Amino acid sequence: MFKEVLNSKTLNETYYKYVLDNGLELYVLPKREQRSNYAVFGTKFGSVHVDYSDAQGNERHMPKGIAHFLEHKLFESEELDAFERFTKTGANANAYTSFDRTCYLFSCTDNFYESYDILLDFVQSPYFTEETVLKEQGIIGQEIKMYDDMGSWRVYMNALKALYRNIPINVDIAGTVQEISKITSQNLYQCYEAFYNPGNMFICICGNVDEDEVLRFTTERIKSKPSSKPQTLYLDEPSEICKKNIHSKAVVSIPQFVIAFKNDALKGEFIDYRSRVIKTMLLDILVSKRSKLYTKLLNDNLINNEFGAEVFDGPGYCSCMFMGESVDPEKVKSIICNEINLIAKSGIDNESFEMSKRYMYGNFVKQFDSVDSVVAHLVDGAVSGYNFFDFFDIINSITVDDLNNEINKTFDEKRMILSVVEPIDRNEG
Amino acid sequence: MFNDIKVSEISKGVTVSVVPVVNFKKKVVSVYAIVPADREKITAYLMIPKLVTLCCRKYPSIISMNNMLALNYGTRITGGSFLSGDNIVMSFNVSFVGDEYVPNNENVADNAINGLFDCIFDPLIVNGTFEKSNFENVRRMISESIASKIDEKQKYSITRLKEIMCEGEPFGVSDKYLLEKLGSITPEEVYTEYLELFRFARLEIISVGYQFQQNFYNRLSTLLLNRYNEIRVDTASKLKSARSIAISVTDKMQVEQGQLALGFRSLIDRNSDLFYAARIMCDIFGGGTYSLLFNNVREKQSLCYYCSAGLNTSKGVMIVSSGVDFSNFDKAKNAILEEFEKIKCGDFSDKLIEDSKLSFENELVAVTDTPDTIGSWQIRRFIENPDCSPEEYIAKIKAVTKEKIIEAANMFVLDTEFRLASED
Repeated sequence: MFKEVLNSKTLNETYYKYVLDNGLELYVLPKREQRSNYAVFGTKFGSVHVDYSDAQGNERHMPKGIAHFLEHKLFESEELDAFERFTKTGANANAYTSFDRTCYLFSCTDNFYESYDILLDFVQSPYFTEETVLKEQGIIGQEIKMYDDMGSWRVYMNALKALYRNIPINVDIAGTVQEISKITSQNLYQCYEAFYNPGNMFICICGNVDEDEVLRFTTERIKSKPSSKPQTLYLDEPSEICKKNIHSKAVVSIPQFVIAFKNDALKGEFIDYRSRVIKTMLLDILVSKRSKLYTKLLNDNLINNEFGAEVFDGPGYCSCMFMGESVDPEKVKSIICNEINLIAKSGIDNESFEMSKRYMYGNFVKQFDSVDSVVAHLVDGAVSGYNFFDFFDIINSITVDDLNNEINKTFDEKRMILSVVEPIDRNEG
Repeated sequence: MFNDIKVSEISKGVTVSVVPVVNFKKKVVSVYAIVPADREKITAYLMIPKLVTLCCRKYPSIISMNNMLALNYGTRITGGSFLSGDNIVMSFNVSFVGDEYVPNNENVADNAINGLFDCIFDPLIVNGTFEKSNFENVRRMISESIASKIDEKQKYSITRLKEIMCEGEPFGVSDKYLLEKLGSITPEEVYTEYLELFRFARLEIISVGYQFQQNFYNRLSTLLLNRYNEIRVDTASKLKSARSIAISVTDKMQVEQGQLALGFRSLIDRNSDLFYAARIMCDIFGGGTYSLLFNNVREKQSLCYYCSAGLNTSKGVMIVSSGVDFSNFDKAKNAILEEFEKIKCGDFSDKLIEDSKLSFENELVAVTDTPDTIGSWQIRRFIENPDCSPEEYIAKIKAVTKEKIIEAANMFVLDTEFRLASED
């Protein structure tokens, strides 16, 4: 077993990383002054992992949405489903699936180990039958329709369709009604065997706990399984985008938009932490409320409170996105591009750079009071390989030249897309 | 912790609460102004917090204001309004990193508090009123935010239900009315209400993690010199009985999934001796994953992706909302009402009550764990919850009996049904 102690003088926090002999990674950040505890048991299995090669070398091509479907089903068992078990401890349990991970979690104040026992047990105890699969198709079908009605989700998914040709992030995380109708209990067991393997999984905990006690408790309950990691069959993703513009309609009040710039990423790998911080800083300087761009867009009635920007990244993909609502998304795009060109020519000034550094520093520190926010960072680190305590060294090491060198690479207009969801005209047929 | 809160009334109707906590990296100070939600003034009250926190006389542009905040290590100053029963609560907030977490122990806190006071009490005024372009931006942004409720169909359905069920009451003020008033209100009208606001509103100032120095109290007292002697505020919300016959309204849109919302009315509010029983009742009905709606309507009958119940403790209103297939509207409604009948007849287990109490306890114990949850608890105990600490609340919850839950359930009567159906 491997143990690493990671601490941050700035935050006055320490977390512990253990890698068990079977490959499972355990992260514990004790916060002994808290009453709350938060635990996640996760796997690096998300909606993009539909094509893979299992431990026996069999190539599998699964229906889209299977990771999310499996997440729903794992709560069930022959005896008592997991939600019912958690009611005895008072913990609040949930789960989620995203593009690159599935996480099962609970939060509680008392009875931490009783709840943790349930979490470790049910995630390691799959139970799927054709009958329960059929029932779930109805519920998930409703969930898909719920998201289909959300303009903000649709504009985002359309943006991914426009950006990515081969990586399966261009399909909804939950799949489609047609795709999930193909899922069988056999598929679920195959995916479970491949991806719910200790070598592919992680546990992240923050709260009023002792790290060594958590380790002991965990090692006693993790089932012995040969450690393996499935090989996801990532296709080569061209650096070009698929289409420059994608439009659809929905019941929304004003047009919703995403303007995204496709960035480089190595096949199946995350961009490094430093690059992510640099891109985040670029976005902050470009469109925060301190920027001339923001004031111009606001005074031209082109943006509102929904406007923002983010770095979207995962295994083999990375984009920088601007999103919001606007009566004229094309104009927003044009103004953003003009401003990027101006800044690329003139360079970012030192004053803006220093302000952004302080802003990002303070923002980062403020996130470490709540156990769920801390665990979110631990999970991100587990999936992407970052140590988030490196943030302070990184932010101190970044220079204004680093940012200026990145602008043209990050915001290449040849790799830019615009996704718009427009209001349905109530008079349309 | 809540027993150690220092509360001082520094002027009639102005209270300062300091919650003494030392471990948080983030400190939060909020100023709340509480007034009745007067229909004629409500749009001004929506605008004031947003307007004054955009920028101020000392930092007269969005850029200069946000430069100051960024230099102060990402300090955030925000303003907003929310309806609490028949009152409107305007909040003016600042959150900042503790001095001990920044290099060289710079004085972040004083800059942050002064920034908040500069916004609230020394806003940017041009030619005797709010600056025009800021005013227009805020007007547009609030209008678009109201209009965009349609984008989230669950939220939209709950809003429409409240508008129909509580028509004529401040709690049920319609978005259509708000948008009309926002379209016509002037900077001068809003400025007049702003000047009046701090003269008569009930003010609650809550600090989590920051100990005010004497100069804070001195500055605040100076700023509030013009307050009226009598505070003209009646912040008791009006309860109303349900209609004798429930009504049903359907909107149609091009949507993939239907929405069903049911509104029940009662005469139970925070002063009622059935308050805690009503909380448990609503929770076992449609709160957690142990609830009757989750297990029977969603899981067993697969009638909807979500089906939950929420209680508004100021108005005695319970709302059930669910996402259903169009073909299942009647089936889902009947299934929901069947589950409610079970509670009214006592056809539910003691285990369900225990599950609910344990869940409440877990949630309430965690209140002291972040500055935001502490601040939220503190203001809500003044305006819509019983005035007690989380520990006292837990004790009252634990004392609730099955008989009281049944009694509380029988106080709720279906008043209104809202459906969002497909145009096709």
